[in-house]
Amino acid sequence: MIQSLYLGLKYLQYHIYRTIILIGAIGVILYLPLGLGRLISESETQMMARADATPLIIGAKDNATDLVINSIYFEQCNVEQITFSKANELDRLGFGYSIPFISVFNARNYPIVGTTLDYFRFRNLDIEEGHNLQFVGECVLGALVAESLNLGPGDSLVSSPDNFLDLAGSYPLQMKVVGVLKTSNTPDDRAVFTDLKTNWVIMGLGHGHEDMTEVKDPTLILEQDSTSITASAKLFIYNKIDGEKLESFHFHGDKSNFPITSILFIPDNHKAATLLRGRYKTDIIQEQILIPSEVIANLLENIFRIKHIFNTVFILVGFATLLILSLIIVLTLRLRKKELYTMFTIGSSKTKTFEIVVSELLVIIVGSLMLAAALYAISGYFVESFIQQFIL
Amino acid sequence: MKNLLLVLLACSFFACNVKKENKQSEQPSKPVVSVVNYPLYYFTERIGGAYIDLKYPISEGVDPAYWMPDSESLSILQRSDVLFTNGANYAKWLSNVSLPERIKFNTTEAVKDRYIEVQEGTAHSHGEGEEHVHTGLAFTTWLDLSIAVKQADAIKDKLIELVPNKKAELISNHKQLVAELSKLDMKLKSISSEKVIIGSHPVYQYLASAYQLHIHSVHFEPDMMPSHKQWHELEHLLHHHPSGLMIWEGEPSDEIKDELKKRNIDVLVFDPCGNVPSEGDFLSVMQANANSLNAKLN
Repeated sequence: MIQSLYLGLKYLQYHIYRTIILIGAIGVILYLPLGLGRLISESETQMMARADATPLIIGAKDNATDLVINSIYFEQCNVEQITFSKANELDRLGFGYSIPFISVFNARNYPIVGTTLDYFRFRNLDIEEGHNLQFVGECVLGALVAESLNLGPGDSLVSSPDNFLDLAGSYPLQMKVVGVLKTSNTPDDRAVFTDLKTNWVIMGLGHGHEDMTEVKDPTLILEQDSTSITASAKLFIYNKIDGEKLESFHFHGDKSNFPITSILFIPDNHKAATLLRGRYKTDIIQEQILIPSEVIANLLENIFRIKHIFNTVFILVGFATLLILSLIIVLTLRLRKKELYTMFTIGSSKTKTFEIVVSELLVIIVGSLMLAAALYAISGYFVESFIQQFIL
Repeated sequence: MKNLLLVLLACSFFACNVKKENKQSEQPSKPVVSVVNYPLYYFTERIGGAYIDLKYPISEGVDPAYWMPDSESLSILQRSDVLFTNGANYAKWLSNVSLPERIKFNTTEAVKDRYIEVQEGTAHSHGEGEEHVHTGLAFTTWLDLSIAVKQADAIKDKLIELVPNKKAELISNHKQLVAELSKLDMKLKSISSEKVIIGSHPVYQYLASAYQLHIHSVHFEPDMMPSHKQWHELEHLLHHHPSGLMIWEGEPSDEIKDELKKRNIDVLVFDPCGNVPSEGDFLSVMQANANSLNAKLN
C-alpha cells in the first residue's frame, strides 16, 4: 500500500499543475455550501441576538419590518412618526419603562440616533473615551464612527441636511463630540448618539438666538411694539450649542407633541409585557406593539429562503464537478494506457495498478478536504466582521 | 514566643476588621434621590431623609429656577435613582440637559390642571416665520400650600416605592408634615383681603390664586435699583391698580425703599423660599411670611 501511495504521489508531483487545479476545484466546491451555511447561520444568530435583546417596540401602525429595522439596526427607512407623549403614557402604566427613540438624520453617512440615557444603560454601552451625553448639542460616537471619521472627545461633527435644496428645512447642527463608546460589535458601533432634544433642534423645533429685546442692530427688527417684535431673516440662529448659548436654546410648542420614530419598551416582567400587548389589541390605540424577535425571525425566514436555492445550485455544481472529475480520470487512464501496460508487463498485478490509481485519487480528495477545511477556518475567523460590515 | 503571640494577635485583629468591613459592605446602599429646589428638598428630607441619600447640588444664593448645572452637578443628577421635579416648566435647565426619563418624577403631575399660564416676554417672530409668544407656566407652585401638600403626597408615594420596608415611617413623617402644611394653609386662607398688592416679581401667582389676594406684578430686583422705564411701568400699574403695599422676595435696598416711600408704598417681604434660607427652614420662613402678610393686610 505504501509503495502504491508513493508511486501515486510521484505521479501527482510530476503532474503538479493538474493536481493543484483538481484539488482547488474540488476544495472550493466542498467549501462553498459549508461556508455559506456558516455565514447564514452566523448572520441569523447575530441578527436574532439583537432582536432577542429588545423586548418590545412600539411605533406607528405602518410597516412592522421597517419599524423594527429602524429601531434596532438604525436603517433609516421611511418610518411614520409618533409623538413623545406616547412614551410618557407608557411610563405611567407602570408596566416598565420606555426608551423613546428617533433616527431620521445622519452625519457623514452615519445615522444620528436621538434617545435618552436609559438606552446606554439598557444596551450596556460603556464609554471608552470622554463622557456620556450631558447637554443639548452633544453627541457620543459609536466605536466604528470614531475610528473611520478619526474623531474623539473635543471634536465636532455637523449633521447633514436632509435636502440641500430645502433651505427652510432641517438646520445642520454642529454637535460637540463628548465621548466614544466601547466596541460592542453591534449596530451601536456605527451610530452617532445624541439626546432626543438635540434631534429636535436639528429638526428646527428648537433653536437659540439673541434676546430680541436686547438686540443692538436695528436692521434685525422689522417691527416692534409694546407686545410684539418681528425680527428680520437676518437674525442669526445659532448653529452650535455651547456655553452661554445653551441657555438661549428653547423649543417652540409642547415637547410632548414632538416626534419620535419608536419606543423601546422594557417591561418589568413577562406578565407586564403580556398585559401591555393586550392593550394594543384594541383599535382605539393608534400605535402597534411588536416583538422584534418575531418580526426579525419572519424576515430572516424570507431572506434565507435563498439558502435552499444555493444548496440546490451547489448540489448541481457538485454533481457536474463529479462528472468532470470522472471524465478526467477516464481520459487520464486512457492517456496512461501505455504506462499501465508497461507496469503490467514488468510484473505489477491488476490489483496493484488499481491501488496506485486509487491512491492518487485519495491524495486529491484528502487535499481538497484540507483546502475546504482551511477556507472554512479562515472564513470563520472573518465571518463576524464581514457580517458587521456588510449584513447588519 | 512573645513575637509569635504578637503576630497571632495582629492577625486576629486584622481578621476581625476584614469581617466587619465585609459586613458593612453587605449593607444595601441607600437609593439616591435628587431634587430641583429647596421646597422639594425640605419635603423629601422631612419624609424620608433618613432612608435615602438626598442630593441637592444647587448652592445658596442661586435661584434654582434659573440655575444651570455644571458637568459635575449634572453627573450627580444623572446617577440618581429618582429626580423630583417641580413641574410647571420649573427649572428650565431640564430642557437643555440629558437625563434618563425614567428617573424624572414630576411632583405636581396630579395637579396639572391647576397650573397657571403666563406670558413670557413679548410676542415675536423670526423673519417670515409665524409670530409667537413664549407662553409659559407660573412655577412657584408651593406658594399654594394645598399644592405643596399634593407635592408632599407624591414624594411620599415615590419614596415608598423606593424603600418599601420603611413604609410605616414614611407615612408617619408625611402625616406630620402635611399637618403642619395644612395648618399654615388654613392660616393663609384666613388672611383674605380686598387690598391690591404690587408684586415686585412675577412669582406670586399661586399665592394670589389660592388665598384670594389681588397681586399685580412688575419685574424689580431687591438689590438692583430699577430703571426709569421700570419706575414708569410701576406708576402705570399704580394708575390702574392703586396700592400702598409692595411684596418682595427679599429685603429691598434702602434706595429702593426711599423711592417706594415717595410713592406711599410700604414694603412686605414674602420669601418664596425657592432655595435654602439663610435662617430657619421652609416652614419657619412660610410661617414668618404668613405673619408679615397678616400684619400688613389686617
